[in-house]
Amino acid sequence: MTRHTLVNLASPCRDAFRVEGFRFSPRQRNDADTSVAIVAGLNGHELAQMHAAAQLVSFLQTHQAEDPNFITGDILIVPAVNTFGFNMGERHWPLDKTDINAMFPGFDQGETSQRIAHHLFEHLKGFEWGIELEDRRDQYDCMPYLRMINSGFEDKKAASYFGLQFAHHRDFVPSDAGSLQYNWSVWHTKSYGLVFGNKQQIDNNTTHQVLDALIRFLAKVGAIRTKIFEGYATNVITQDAITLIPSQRAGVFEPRQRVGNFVKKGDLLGKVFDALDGSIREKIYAPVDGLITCHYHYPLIYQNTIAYRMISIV
Amino acid sequence: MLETLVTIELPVGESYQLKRHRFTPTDESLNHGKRISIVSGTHGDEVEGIYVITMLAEWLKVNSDKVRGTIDLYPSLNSLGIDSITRTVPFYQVDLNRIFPGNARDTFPNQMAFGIVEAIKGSDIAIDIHASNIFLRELPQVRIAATYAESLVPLAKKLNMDFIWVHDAITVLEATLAHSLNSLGTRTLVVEYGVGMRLTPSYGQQLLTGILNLMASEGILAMDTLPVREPCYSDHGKVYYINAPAAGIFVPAMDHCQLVHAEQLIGHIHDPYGVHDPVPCLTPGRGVLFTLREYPIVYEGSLIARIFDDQTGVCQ
Ligand SMILES: [Zn+2]
Repeated sequence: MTRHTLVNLASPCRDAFRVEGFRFSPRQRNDADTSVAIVAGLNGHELAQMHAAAQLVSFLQTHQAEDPNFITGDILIVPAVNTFGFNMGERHWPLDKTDINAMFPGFDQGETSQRIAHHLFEHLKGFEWGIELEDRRDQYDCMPYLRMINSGFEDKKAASYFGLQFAHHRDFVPSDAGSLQYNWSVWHTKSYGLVFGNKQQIDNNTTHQVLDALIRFLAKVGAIRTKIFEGYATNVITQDAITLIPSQRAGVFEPRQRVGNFVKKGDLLGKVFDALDGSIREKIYAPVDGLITCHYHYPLIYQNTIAYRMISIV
Repeated sequence: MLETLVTIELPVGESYQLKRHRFTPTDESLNHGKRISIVSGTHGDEVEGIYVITMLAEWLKVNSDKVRGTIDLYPSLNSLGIDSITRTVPFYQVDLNRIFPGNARDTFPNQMAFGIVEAIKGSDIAIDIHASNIFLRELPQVRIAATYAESLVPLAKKLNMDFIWVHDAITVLEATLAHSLNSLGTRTLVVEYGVGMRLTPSYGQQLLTGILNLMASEGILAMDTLPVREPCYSDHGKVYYINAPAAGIFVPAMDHCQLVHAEQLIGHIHDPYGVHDPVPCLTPGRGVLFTLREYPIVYEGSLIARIFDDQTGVCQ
C-alpha cells in the first residue's frame, strides 16, 4: 500500500487542506487485471461512509501483508474528501458552503471547491470502476442500496457483484450534473453510488454489511483474490416499483415500521402527533403490499414529507 | 390589501405564509389590466430588496391615485430564512432559487416554490430583487439569460441600473424563479446589487426610481417617466473572473466597483502570520469592475472580482 496526498490546499489560518488516497497494486502494476476507485466523505456528514472506506483500507492492508498475491488489481481508496467539514460538523465546504460533490469535473481556474474537485478528479479518471459511498442528503433511514444513473455507461450485471438486496436504476436528473458518480460515467468509468447510513452516525452492522459488499465486488471484478460468501441476488428496481408515502400533516412523527419489514396494504406505518397538545393528527397506512426500504428519520415532520418508501413486485 | 396566498403547516405551532401586498386603482374602471410583481427574499441573507419594496409600498400608499394596474409586492419569499439570516430554506438547507417550479406534493421547500409560482404567474412583468451574498459586493445590475435577451433588455434599460449582464443559459439556472416565470410568459428581470446582510440605501433609491420609471412607461402608473441612467450594456463583451491566487486576508485597494484599466491594483492578499509577502491582485484588462470581494478571508480560488471587458466602448 502507498499513501498519497491527492489534493493539498493552503488555508488562511488553519492547517492545510489535504485529501489522502490509499493505493493498492499487484507486485507488478502492469499485471493489474482491473482498476477500482472508491471515494467516500465528499460531504462532511458522511461518517459511516468514511469509516467503511477506512475499514476497507485496513482490511486490504492486512491481507496484502499476509499474502503478496492478494491484490490483483489497481485500487485507490479515498476515505474522506471534505476533511475540513468533518472536523467541524459541516456538510459542505466550510467557508462558502458549496457542495464539493456538485463541482465535478471541476475547474482549475475556478472557485475553491471547483479546484478541489478538479485536482481530485485528475486522480480519479481512467479507472475501470468507480464507487462513490454516500449518505442520503435528506433525513432518511434506508436499507443500503446501489444507485445507477442512466448514462449509457452503467453496468447492470456487475451491480449484482455487491450482493446487496436492491439496486436503484434511475434516469439522470439535473442535480446529477456535478456529481462524481455521473462525471465518472462521462469519462467512461463504470460507476455506482452506494447509499447507506444515517447522517452523522455510524452503525456497526451497516458498516460490516457495506464492507462485505465492497470486498465481494473487488473479488468478483478481479481486483483481489479471496474467498467470499455470496450475497443477495440483487433486484434492480426502477421508479415504477417504488411507492412514496407522504405525511399529510406536520408534527411529531412516530415510525411504527422499520426498514426491511414486509407490510400488507392497510398496515399502520406511523403516526403524526400535534407537537403541543399530543393529539393524533394523522395515521399513515401502507397503500400497497411491499417492502419498507426507507423511513423518515427525524422526530419532527413537515407537511407532505415522504414518511416511507416502499418497493413492490410489479 | 395584504393577502395570504399560501399556508403550509410547520411541525410546532406555526405555519409558513406567503404574503403579498396588492395595490390596485381605487376606482377599478381605471385599471388598464397590466400586472407587475416585485419580489425579494428568496435568499434569507439578502435584505436589499426588502428595503426597496418597503419604500415602494410607502410611496404607493401616498400616491394611490396614480395606480393604473395591479402592483403585487412580495418582500420576503423565504420568510423563515429572512427572519434568521439563513440563505437557504431552514432545516432543509435547500437553495430556494434552485428548485423552481417546485411541486405541491413534495417537500416543504418544493411546496413553497410551487406556491410562489402559482401566486405570481399571470403577471405581465416580474422583478426579482437579489443582493449579493456576504462574500461579494455588486454594482447595480440586471442579469438576463441569453435566451430571453431580446424581450428583456429593453425592459431592463428602464430600471436605472448601471450594468446589464446577458449571460449564457446554464442548466442549474433553469431551476430559478426567473426562469420558471419567463417560461410561463411573465417577463422577469433579475436585479442584483449591494452585499449580503446589509443595506446600501443609495442603490435602493436608485432602483426605486427605476421601478417607478418602468411602471410609468408601461402605463401601470399615471405619471411622467423619470430620468434614468444609461446602463452599460453590450452583447459583445466578455466577463473576466479574478480568483484569489493564494489563501489569506484580502484587502481591497478600491472601495467600490468602478471603471478600470489594465494592470490596475484590485487589492492584496496578505498572509495573516506575515511570513509571506502580500500577493497583489491585478485587473487583466480594461472594463467595468462590477463585482468586488467584500468578505476578507479567502482560499485559493475565492472570487475577488468580475470585470466586464467592454470591447465596444459603450461603458463610460
Ligand atoms: Zn439571491
